[in-house]
Amino acid sequence: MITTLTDTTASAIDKQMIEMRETFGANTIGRVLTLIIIATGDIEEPLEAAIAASHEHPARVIVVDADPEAENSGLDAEIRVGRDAGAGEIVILHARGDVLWALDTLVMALLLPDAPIVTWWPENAPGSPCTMCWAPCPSAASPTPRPARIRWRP
Amino acid sequence: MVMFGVTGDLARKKLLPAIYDLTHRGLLPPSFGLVGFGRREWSDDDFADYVRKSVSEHSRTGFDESVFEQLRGGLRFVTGTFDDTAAFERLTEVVGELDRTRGTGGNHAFYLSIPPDAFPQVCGQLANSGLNTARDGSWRRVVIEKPFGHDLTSARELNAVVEQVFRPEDVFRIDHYLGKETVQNILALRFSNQLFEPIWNANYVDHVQITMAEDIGIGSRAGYYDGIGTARDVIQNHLLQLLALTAMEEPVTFRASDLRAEKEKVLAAVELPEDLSAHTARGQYVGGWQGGEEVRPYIEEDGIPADSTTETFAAMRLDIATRRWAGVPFYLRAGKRLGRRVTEIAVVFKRAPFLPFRSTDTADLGQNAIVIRVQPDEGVTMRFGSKVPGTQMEVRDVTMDFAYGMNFTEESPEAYERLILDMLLGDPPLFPRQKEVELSWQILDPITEHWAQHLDPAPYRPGTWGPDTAHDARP
Repeated sequence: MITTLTDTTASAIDKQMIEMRETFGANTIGRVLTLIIIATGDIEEPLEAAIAASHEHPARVIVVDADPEAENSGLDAEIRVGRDAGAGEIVILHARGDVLWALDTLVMALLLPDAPIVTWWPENAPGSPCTMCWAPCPSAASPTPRPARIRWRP
Repeated sequence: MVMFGVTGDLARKKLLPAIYDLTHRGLLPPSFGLVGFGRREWSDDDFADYVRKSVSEHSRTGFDESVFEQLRGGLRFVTGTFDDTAAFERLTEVVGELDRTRGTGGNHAFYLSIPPDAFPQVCGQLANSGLNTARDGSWRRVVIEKPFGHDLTSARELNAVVEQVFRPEDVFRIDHYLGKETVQNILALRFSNQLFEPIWNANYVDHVQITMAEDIGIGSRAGYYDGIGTARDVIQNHLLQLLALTAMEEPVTFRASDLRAEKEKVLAAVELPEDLSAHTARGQYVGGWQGGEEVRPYIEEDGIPADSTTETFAAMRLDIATRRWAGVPFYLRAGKRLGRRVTEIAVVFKRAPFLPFRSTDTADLGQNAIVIRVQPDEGVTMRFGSKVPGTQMEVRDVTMDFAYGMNFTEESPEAYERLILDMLLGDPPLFPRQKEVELSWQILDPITEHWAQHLDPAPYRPGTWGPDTAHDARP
């Protein structure tokens, strides 16, 4: 099943997914990892690879279809569950323009709690994951973390 | 029931629909009457139209004309201001008329859904009109909403005002979190099972995280919020209540006095960190893109002064000086414009003292945890390690999940339904007593005082998990 949300927000997508879980029992928790794909080009090929991988590691796949050059900023989304999503579930975020300046806040609301996060850049990977914000990330500028930090749950 | 502040947001979105839903479920007696008191020049019919609109928009059980007609028979409206003695005389007459025509038995509940600074006036008027005095075995009850003051002194003053007019056992303080099914389930989970209680202590628990995060900003609450901030708004009541339920000893029974006694004991045992700057954090959201939309910084929200130092994020470490919890930090955090909307209690366990595996086999193994999801997606998750299928002995975290929606097809009642019904029945376990309110302020006051003098809120981007200082709060 494919659900499309136009001109939406991460919070609305999260809400929709919880609702889908309650209504159809679409399992959104029994996944072992969140796979984030950040693509600036074609998304079909990485998506196919992710679906194939999900048969071995059931995952929530978040595909960011990034169009940083777009004139109008905005976010559309597609949620795929069931047979359209292999053994996992897929959220495709069509993010345009300035939305990408805060890429972290886009995926934050959609991460699975208590599960590892794997990020894949099919084209150009940044030097450090922190620069995935497309903008100087404030946390990158902060001093080295102390050895024992609270690991707040995401 | 007499409701003050009936035109407010809370009454319109929650209280009136809850009363309707209770009627719909057959839980209110047919004699139930509701009197609205407010400034508007409304007739009883205007008021009924207003209730109908609120109910049809916000009721949980769906609008049913015949149910509404039953409720409608008991709807009255009295126009007046809080300083208008004549209006309270009219109120007395209307209530008396309901007693005679509807058979309410002379039992009256007063719901004060109004700002606390109006309490003295309203309570004074109720006392003058004699409405607060019960006769012939009937009862009088008063319901008040948070905030119960903004520090210990003001909480005591407020309480003195209310208890001058009503007996302490007739005062019902609503903390709507305690009406939530998931919160009451903490008691069921802990005290009806053999599985959890043996490990619910410092021998096995590493730390506890209690989170109440919202992804929205302050919205239209500027007038109330500024100068109050997150710690006073939600930590003093909701989060400390969650802490008390998570950490308290087993009550002898679930009677109100026994339950409250255990909550009070554990709140009294809470210890603050010595170095408050290191173990507490305070933040304020700035503007920017959050999850696909551009949002304003806190200081540019409507009605907020540009130099406001009110926090929209608060985090702190608390310890509990009991044999059960010594050495187990309880981390509390709450805030607006955070990464996602979630309220949960995570009990995180220590690692097993010895692992008979190669270190590489367990590299992906985290700490075991029990997570109580208060809202949304209500339920409980357990996280533990499991072998990855294959020839090698590799262990990885998996989760086991209980979701209310999947296990019970019964829809959970709204918190206010439960609480209003309990109040009418005179069943107080879910309502905090003044002692608990005062103990909570005693915990929070030193922190907010320290903040006012030494710690301005650190900025954080909307849609993130608060300022960086929040993550360094551990020694």
